[in-house]
Amino acid sequence: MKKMNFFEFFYYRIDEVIESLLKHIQITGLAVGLAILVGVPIGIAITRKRSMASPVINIANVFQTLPSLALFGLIIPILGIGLVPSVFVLFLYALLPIIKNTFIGITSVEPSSVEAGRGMGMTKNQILTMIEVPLALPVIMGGIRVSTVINIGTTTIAALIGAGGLGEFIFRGISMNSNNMILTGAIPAAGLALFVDFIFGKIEKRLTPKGISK
Amino acid sequence: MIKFRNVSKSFDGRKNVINKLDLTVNKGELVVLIGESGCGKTTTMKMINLLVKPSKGEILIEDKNILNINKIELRRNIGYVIQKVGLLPHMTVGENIEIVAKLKKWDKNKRMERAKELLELVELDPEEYYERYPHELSGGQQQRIGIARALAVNPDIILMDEPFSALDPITREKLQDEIIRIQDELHKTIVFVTHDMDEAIRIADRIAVIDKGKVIQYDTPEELLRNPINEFVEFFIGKERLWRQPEFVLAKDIMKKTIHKINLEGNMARAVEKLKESDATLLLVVEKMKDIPQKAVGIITPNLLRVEELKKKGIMTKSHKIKDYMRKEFVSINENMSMVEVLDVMSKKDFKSIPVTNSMNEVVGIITPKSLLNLITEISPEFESEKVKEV
Repeated sequence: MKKMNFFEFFYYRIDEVIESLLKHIQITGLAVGLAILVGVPIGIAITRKRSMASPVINIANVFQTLPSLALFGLIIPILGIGLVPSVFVLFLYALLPIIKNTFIGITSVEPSSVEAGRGMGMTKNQILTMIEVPLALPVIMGGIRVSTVINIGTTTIAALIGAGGLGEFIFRGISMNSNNMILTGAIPAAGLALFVDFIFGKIEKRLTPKGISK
Repeated sequence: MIKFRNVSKSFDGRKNVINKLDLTVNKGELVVLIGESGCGKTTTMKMINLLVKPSKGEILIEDKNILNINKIELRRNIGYVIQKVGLLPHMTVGENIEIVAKLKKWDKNKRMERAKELLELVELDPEEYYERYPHELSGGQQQRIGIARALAVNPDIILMDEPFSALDPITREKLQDEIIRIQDELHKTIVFVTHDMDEAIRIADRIAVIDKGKVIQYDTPEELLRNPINEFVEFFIGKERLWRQPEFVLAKDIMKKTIHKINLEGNMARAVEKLKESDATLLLVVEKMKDIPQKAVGIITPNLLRVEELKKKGIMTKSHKIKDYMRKEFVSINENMSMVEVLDVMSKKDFKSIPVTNSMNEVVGIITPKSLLNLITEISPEFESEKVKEV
């Protein structure tokens, strides 16, 4: 068989690539989605109880610093292999930037804005929803963006414990010593990361209240 | 009416920041709380809308203890203006003004109408500013919006926490005038915190000087300037303050209370003698020689004598009766006239001595050019007089 160049190779497996790409998006999406649902409230909660802020952020930091490969390995005895443990590990990874940015975003809202709100008779919830969250939104969104982009990369490693996704091409390529195969996984993953970064950047800009975008 | 009764506040449970404070702010009155930083003036103000909860004592608004009112409701019914303005940057000017109305669930049209009305009140064109964002406005304009926002739901009480201290002096004065104008129009009960005595004197109906969590003196600006209760207040006001507020120096403060008098039945030779020996600049002609206050029927001045002598081409003798030569119509100054007006009168009269009368038209004293001079040396800063000595 004649040796195929990358493009031929890629085109030959396009259906498989698209399927993996969708799977990849699904895994990352689930992990980041969960991290938003959990991380944003945690981030807000630790602005209310400041003494909890550094312990919580430190714990989230630990997950971030553990090598992902090790974490995927460690999770197998507990949750087994497949989608669930992968999403769980990726969720832990996504958590830190979201918690941290939510915390920073809300604590950096001008104290005078909050005081004005209090003085005007806003309840705590109204201060949160009418003042703090809208003003912190660009920063929170920045955290989500960073978290997602990193996660797209890390998701490739999840293929190791049978989650699927673009990482499968890469691992297969490594064991087959096929650069084309590695690139078939790596290039769409990189492209996805760039694309998501771009789109989220747009959203971030959109969410920035008119009055504070100079 | 806002009433503080024996109110104390302690943040750490040991030291009282506010110490058994009593204070009554009448309806429609603009009261300024003034004191050095850390004296408790802001804390006192913030207790009115329960941003700070009093530890002891009670605060009554219209005879209702505020602790029995829902905190959120209370705040929505009290306007609040802060130093840093605190406009919400993500909302337009209109939205900012409408916040409290929105919290109170007014409908959209009513809110908008009110916001535009208020923009006009603070002299910003609604068409131009309603849709703008706070960061597009100058500091002075922002605080105008802050004031409009506080007035949004037409509260009876407005609290202002050093609202103008971050502004430049010119803008500050403009906004002070604005507050005076708005207050003349609306008659709100305003509690205004500042550390700036000039500002307090300009705008206040009454000033409460606060030190160590207590009201030291609570008086009208005039009273405070004229009769500071103790050294602290005096120091805080600044001695030269009276000089900067000449409208608060009254004729009765600077007049001399000893006046040389002469009986109506007397003769001119006696008058000449009296003027010479006493070095007086004015003789009061009276019907009976008794202590002032009393009615004067005329005056005799050295100038008058000179004129008469020239006319007669000779000196005044015993045969010249006072009642024939005295000046029956003379300028006098009411004792409650301010120094500014006194100076005005005196400059028109070429700085001659002028009698001071009370409301019964009785003479109570006299203002001479010398008494003005005395006043200036008395209130001018001390180093000035020392300089003069050196020379």
